Amino acid sequence: MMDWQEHYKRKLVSADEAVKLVKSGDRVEIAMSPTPSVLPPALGKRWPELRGVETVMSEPAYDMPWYEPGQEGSLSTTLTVHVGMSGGGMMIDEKRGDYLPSLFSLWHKPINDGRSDAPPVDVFMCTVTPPDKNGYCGFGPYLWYKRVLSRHAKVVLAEVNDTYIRTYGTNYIHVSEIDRFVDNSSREMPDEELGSIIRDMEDENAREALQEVSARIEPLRRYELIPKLAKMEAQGIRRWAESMGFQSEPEPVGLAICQYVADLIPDGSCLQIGGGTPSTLLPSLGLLDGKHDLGFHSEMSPRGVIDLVRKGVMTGKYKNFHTRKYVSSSLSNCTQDEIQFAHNNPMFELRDTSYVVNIANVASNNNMVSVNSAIAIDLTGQITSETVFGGRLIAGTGGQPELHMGALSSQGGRAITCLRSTAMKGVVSRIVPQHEAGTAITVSRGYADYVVTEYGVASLFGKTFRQRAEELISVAHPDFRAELRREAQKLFYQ
Amino acid sequence: MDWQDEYKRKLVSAEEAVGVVKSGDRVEISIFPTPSLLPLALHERRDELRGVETVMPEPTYPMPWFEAGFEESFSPTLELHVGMGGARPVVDEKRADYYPILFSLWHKPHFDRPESAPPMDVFMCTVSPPDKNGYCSFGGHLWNKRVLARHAKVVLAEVDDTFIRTHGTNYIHVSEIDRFVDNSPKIMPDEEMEEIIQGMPDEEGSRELRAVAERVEVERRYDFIPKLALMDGATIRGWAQVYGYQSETEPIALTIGKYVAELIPDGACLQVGGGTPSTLIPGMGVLDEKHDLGVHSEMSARGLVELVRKGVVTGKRKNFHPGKYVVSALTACSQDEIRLTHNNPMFELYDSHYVVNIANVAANDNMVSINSALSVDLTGQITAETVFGGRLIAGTGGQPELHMGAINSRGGRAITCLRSTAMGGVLSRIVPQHDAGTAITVTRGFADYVVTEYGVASLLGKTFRQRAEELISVAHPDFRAELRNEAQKLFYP
Repeated sequence: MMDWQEHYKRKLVSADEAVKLVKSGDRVEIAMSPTPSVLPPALGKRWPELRGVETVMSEPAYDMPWYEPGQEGSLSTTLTVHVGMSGGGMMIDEKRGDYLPSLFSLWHKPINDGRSDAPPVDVFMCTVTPPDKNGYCGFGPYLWYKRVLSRHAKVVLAEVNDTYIRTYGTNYIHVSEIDRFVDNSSREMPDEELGSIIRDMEDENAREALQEVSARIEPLRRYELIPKLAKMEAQGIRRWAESMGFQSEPEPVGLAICQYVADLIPDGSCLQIGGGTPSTLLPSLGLLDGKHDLGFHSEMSPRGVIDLVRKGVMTGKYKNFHTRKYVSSSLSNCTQDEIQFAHNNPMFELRDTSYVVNIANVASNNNMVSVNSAIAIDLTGQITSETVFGGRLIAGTGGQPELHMGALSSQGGRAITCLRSTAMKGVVSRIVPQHEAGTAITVSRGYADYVVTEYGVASLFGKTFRQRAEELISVAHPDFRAELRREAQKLFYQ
Repeated sequence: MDWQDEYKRKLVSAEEAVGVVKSGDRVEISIFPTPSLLPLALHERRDELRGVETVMPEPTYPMPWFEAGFEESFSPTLELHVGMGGARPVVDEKRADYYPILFSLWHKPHFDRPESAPPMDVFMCTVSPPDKNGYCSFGGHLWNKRVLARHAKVVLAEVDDTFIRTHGTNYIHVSEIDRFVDNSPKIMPDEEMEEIIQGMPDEEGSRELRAVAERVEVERRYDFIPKLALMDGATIRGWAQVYGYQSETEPIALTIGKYVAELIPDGACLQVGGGTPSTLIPGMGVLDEKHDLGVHSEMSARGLVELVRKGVVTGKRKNFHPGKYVVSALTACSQDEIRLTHNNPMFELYDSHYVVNIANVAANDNMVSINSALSVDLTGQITAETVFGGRLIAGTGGQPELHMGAINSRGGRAITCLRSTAMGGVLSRIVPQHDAGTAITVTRGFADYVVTEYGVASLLGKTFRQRAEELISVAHPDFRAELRNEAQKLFYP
């Protein structure tokens, strides 16, 4: 048998060489967060010779070359879990792409259970560390479901990034399980190059926004982020910055919401914090700094959570599942500083998403508190964090349903849903009498618990329709309360 | 005082028992069987009571205060299921409020958040007489009653000496109950039944009731016959289907049952939901050739206990409560089946929140849930609760948790069955999009197998376009072209 060093050397090839393993008719999964950056463009170059390749991806960080009309017959696009902020959302809006509604806890169930109609994973593209002395690569701070998918894929193509950290948990894969390696280590973008990209932007507002945001992007992440941001408008850049924790200061509405949320978190509770806004802002606002012995069990880590460990706020002492461990499937939104802190730090365990968000596992910690964001909620408590105007898809569910239900099922647990009271600059209330036809319900009303807006906390659990309406109207924007009250009267009273 | 003395002292008339209810109290009336003397005695106090909130799931007969004019004395609130027995008009006319609750989390406010939990001033239920240790049972109908009794300030219990005893958590001590009222069923003589049937206002109703009455066990006549006599023919037919008193399985349900049976491997652990057509499946004979099935189910559909007798259900391959038949109620079983479970160590009745807890459901490998739905959209959103948008037909029962638990079980499957059409074929139950206000019972991420009389649609792991195709292939042929057009608009450029 070939030793792993030999295997690694022989399998280390160029991106063009690696994507030769893709055949017409294959189903190709492209990993999320980070989206591999050299393999997909190399695949795109092969479009004239390929037929019927389905590409499946979640939240692609940039536009795939095959989004261009005319290439569908070669490379078709399927989004799953999240559509993301780049062109993936456009492909769904224009219905040129298909969407696979899946849950983090069940994503790979068909294949795990050996169902005959499980979608095949012919090729999986992802990013890993170089192998360690035992021949194991890690997925850096971004494990997610990648280990699981690698094991189910017939062919695994991996980009190798030597700046990635190592963590405890299930964050490893052996060289022998990967078929081709392509070197693609992150480099720091020099200040001059950053300056010239910004200078070349045409729109003045966007230029100003990127100037502001780029100051908080670490040099190591500039190549990954700056070129994509430079193509966005000012509002898009600012919204992106907020969702990723790169905002300069919290906007007042987000801050007000997080203050109410912080009041709902008792000392000793175990937190899950979702990646949407405003929930993702919570750890970095200083609102949790006075708490004691918090724990963490969360699909992902928003910026500022690891700092809470450093500050001694988060100890995991009262967790009864993975006691004293910080359990997450990814550190995607953390700062480089925070990520370095987690490197080979035994307190931090990255585990497969399906394990982290498994409802029974989430509920295993007492006093589990989930904090997630939503798009809209109706007066009976049905929550959507997926669609607007009926069925228009904005996001997938991520692990929100399972984490929410797990937290509520936990002894002493709470499931907090936060949302701004209005959308579209105050024109639309996010608290609605009824959802429009086609709305995707993310959390059903039986599971609705605390709903927080900038006007306070609505407590829905154990409440009737009429009581729920009253609670929700009291945290709706004052401009919409009279109308909501009239609608509630029609819906729930004689 | 020993418990015998205590029991004797607490055994009073219904009138005396309800004397403990005060104005402003919140009174819970238990799920099946709905106590039959206590609510009526409470109503007699309507002139002296003010602002009493009465809370109940699925009452089997209309409470007298459902009539207009008693709102100041008693306000009705329904929870979980609206039921067929008379709560329908107060809900439809919005004279009642509604609690959307889940079986697994029903009592979480009382466990976790006592300061904000809805108060439980009085709880009315039905129990067996005490055994030699002073413990009563809830008969074949445990549900959430033990839990509620422990949270209530005052417990009033009717005593039914025909109630069985079971293993599990189906017990409550005499000292935990405040008043007992004897209400053991008498057997309704044939003449009395005939008189009721003949006294019905319309002919179709009395014809249907006569047909059903033949199959109702004599000891359950007082339970059912007077209430059925208040329904119309179609409602009686529907009731008979749900409770297993139908004359024969209608062909559509049988076809659905056959497809469902094909999805159940030997050794699977079953949950069967109480709606139609799912509830009919164990009694159809389609499972009779399976081997070593297990049962972990909120309720026991009629025919499921029979499968134990036939040697089909053994529980041998369960990894959670192996060898045991675990349910929270035998409500839909025949009297024969109920008697078989009496003091039978294979059968364990546990509190419903324990049985439907997602982690517990998922603890059995190869868990297969079989539930019914009203409608499903082309992306896989399932409703078992509302029609025409928000009109409430049923609560969720344990369906969401059992469905999600089953799909989370290793090798598990979550089957949703529904007839392809409703209202005599005028409406497709497979719809492009749900109407505004529809309550989603199972979100699309959890959608798995959907079965109609036209076959099986497999949705898990499928995209929007694939789901639409799967569902259209099991829709009624008359609606397929229209659904295809809509799918084209929704999911293609």
